[in-house]
Amino acid sequence: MTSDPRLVLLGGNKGFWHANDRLAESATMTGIESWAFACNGDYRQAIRCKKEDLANYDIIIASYNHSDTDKLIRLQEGRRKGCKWVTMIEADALTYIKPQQFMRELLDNSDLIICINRHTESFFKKFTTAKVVNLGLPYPAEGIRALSTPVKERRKEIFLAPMLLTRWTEYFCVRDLGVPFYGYEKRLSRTRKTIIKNLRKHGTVDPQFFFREARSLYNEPQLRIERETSLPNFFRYNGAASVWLNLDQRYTWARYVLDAAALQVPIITTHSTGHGEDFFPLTTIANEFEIDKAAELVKKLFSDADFYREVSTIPINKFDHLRPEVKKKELFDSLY
Amino acid sequence: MPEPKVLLLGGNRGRWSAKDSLAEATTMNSGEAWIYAFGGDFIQNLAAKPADLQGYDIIIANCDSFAIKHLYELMQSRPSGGKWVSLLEGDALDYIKPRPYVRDLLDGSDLVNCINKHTLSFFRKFTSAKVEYIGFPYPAEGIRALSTPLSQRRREIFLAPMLLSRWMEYFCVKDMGVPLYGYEKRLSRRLKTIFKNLYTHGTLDPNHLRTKARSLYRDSGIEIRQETGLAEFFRHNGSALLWLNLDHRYTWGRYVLDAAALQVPIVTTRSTGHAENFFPKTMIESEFDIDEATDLVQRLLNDKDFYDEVAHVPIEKFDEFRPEVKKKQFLDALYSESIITSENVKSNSSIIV
Repeated sequence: MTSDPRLVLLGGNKGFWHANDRLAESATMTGIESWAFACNGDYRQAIRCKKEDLANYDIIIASYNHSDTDKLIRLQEGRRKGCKWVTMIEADALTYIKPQQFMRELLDNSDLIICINRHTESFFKKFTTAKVVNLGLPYPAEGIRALSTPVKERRKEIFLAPMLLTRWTEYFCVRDLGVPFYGYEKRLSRTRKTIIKNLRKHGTVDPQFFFREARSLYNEPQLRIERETSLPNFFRYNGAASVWLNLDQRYTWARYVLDAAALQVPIITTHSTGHGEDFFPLTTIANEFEIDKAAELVKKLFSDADFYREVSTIPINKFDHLRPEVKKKELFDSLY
Repeated sequence: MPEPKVLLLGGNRGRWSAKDSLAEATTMNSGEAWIYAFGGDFIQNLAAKPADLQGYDIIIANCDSFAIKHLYELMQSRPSGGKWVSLLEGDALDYIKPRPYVRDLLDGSDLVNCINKHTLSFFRKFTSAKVEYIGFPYPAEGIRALSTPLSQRRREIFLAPMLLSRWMEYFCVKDMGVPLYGYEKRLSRRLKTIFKNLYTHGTLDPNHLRTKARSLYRDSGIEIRQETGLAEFFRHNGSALLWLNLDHRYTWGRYVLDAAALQVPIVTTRSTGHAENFFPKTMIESEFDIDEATDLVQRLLNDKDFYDEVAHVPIEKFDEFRPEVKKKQFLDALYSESIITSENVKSNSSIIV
């Protein structure tokens, strides 16, 4: 091809923007939107998209979303001739193991499937007749490393990596270790579009609702609950914690592991993340229920400075395969 | 001590006693097996009232997620001196998401019966109550009596989960040229379920779930059987050549025990908890090791020696599951002094920073 193809990313978040409009975010963009930056493309919310909106693109990357599958099918069927449709397997691969309507049709009619967790590639290759490649997402490692904190300036704290109301395994693992720990929760949105839905679901529009819910369920005065924040602030603040803990049972893109590696903060995590064994082989446990082993690793990280240094030293060139230009080339090579 | 009077609170409907349905004891492979082991009674957990607990020495409560709050309230009114045992039924992954009442229920128990060995350390950190991995009694002899000799088995693969709950097994073997089959339920049309089913499925057609499975799988080659009684289940599936069960959950893993009792090879996952004991050569590490699962199925189909080796499970391997053994293990755990308390866990695990 003589010039770069015109690319649009269809995702679940709101908005319509071009990579050039948000260049400041590209240095810390760890989500699916990193494809829009890597390919200098557009982003659109899938559910608001019309067939005509896609007429001028050469490549459409559609992030799979269970609730929008029928919409994606219609957009896929209506794409212009010659336009390539790429379906990106977003979120936990375990959600694909339950039979669902339209799922196979969407995947089978794609020109390419981007798999985001290497352990699941062989499953998706059996699942669909379309070409499947474990491409994942571009990752802006340098931009995130620029926000890291030197080891000696870090707080002696453990960051419990999932949102507190999604999983509490991490808390039970470390609550008796005598080290302060903290995690995050969201504010309840009060925008016009969410207020009725939230009122119906939660019976309140109190923005602190999730904080109170987490406080009540954990029933743990030692637990500090931080409010969800922007990506740069997230990296700055959590790059200054000593250890992260993420006992993930899911098969996702596992950004926490990459983030910890970019910030050079040790993380105890699971094999299912797909990145644990590459970036943190000494602190990756086989599964989410190996909780005694996880607790031992936390203790070792706090008591053995050499071990801490060995785990946290991650050369930036370990991220070379995730560089935006490398990922972009892999995408085009796979498609064309 | 005299024989304790035991009540099991479970998710299924009804009230009955072990002596009322002795015929089922020889194939009962779930939580109800405790009723037969103790000669006890059963009451549906959501239907149970405080008065129903009177007179029992031990109450075993199946922790179905929909019944947690009710069980917690019921636990407060257990008879004086009565022991409350929480049975961790279902998938342990259900417990990793914060939910109200679940910690209160477990913490207030005299014993927590963990049903998957991989999850024991998690539950020991989760609750201040005593937790032991006991599981259920398993009637291996009764089930083996329903097995089929190797030479009479059908060259078919049984996809072990309900077809609408998971389709990984299908994708693993769909191109092998061997007939496949699985099960789906009939849609109930009983008075208590009719409105719920109409709301959920938009129909009362008893074949709705099978029709839905047929439409989603889009494979006329797969046989979709109707859910059946346990005895018939063992008879029919004991004569399949092999089973496939790529389970991602951490449950009691009955399919593995059933296959072992019937001496039918099963390709299954470590998370089941039993695979490494009964089928170490056909166990895969995770549910996504699908290429390895496919290779194992191929080998079982083509290598008779391998098949015979995997299928040969001596009945003595089930000795630890015998009702009298499980019963003793259960009573020992319940009436011995707890050696695991939150205090000694804390003192053993603290670190200085």
